[in-house]
Amino acid sequence: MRPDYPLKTDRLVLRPFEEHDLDDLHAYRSDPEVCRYLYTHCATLEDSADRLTKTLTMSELTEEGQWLVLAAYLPEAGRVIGDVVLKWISEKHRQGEIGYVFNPEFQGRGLAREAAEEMLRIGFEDMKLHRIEAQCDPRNEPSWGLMERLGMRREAHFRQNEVFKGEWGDLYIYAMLDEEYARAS
Amino acid sequence: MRPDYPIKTARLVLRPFEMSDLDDVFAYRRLEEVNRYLYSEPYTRAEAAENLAKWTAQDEIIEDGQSLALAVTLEGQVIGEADVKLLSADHRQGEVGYIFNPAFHGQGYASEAARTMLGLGFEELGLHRVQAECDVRNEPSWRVMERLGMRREAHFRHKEIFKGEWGDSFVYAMLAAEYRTLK
Repeated sequence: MRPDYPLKTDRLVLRPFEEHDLDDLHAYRSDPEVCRYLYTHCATLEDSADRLTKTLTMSELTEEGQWLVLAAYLPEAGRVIGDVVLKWISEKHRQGEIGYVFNPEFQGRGLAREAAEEMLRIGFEDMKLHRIEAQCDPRNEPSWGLMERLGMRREAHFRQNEVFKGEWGDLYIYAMLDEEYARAS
Repeated sequence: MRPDYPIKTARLVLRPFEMSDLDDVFAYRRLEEVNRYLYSEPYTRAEAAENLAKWTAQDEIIEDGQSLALAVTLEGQVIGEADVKLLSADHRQGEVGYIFNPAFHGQGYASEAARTMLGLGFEELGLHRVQAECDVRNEPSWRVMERLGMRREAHFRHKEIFKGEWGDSFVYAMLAAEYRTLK
């Protein structure tokens, strides 16, 4: 499955990453506020360049285990303001996962929601997934707040199920089923 | 981690499996009702022997992913099995499980054996968190988890196709601090 790029939402253009996106990507991937609840540490320019190189080819899903990673480009700003992902977890069980990381400079305007909704659409409509989940640290309220606005349900609150950046970390898992998506859209 | 065998509880003795347990194990592993909510299907006698051979060879836990399945015996008869699995040494996470002969259900044997496995997990393996999973329709199983003091942390809906239909599962868990309080 390869989406018909560029994908357009009301205000955003979603497309595969391109070589020249490095500065935009690094601007938020190096932000301590952004990486606080991500598994990755704050990116050095080299980390961002490595990430960019890897994501350049993540523009289609051909087998389970792969990630679709798209740049969220905001034309009015002329910048990539975040990235959204869709992981194909299982072909047999028709499971997927979405994720999003956005530049705080553009938060609070519903842009992440617009991008995430498009990833749910790709997952349910194009990939025919039955269930899509999303995970985050419970302290990352803006992240799970968005999952709730998307209509996802909290299915799990794992307490101290891993050591996260030197301390015991909790995890929320939210999910949505295709029938819930069909009712909501 | 290799426990000091045999492990004795109030009424039960837990020990590694032996090939001579074949009749007792086959007696319940062959039953449809025992396998209803397990990933496995009823065993033939040959399959029971094959699995028994694997379990007898695994009497200690050395690394991630390994589990210790012990025979739960009552007056010399194997009435079920209980296991503890090391999910992650780095994160000190583990999992317990249990399967019993229906002829011995309803007498608290599963709770007694599972409590022993929690003890192995927290005390011998030094785990920080131990979880247990089951199909949501398997109420006797999650009732045991609740009796042990585990908390329901997850209710996954349709996370997988289980035996031909969408399945729901519960994940229960207990932390080391909770274990010490309950003890």
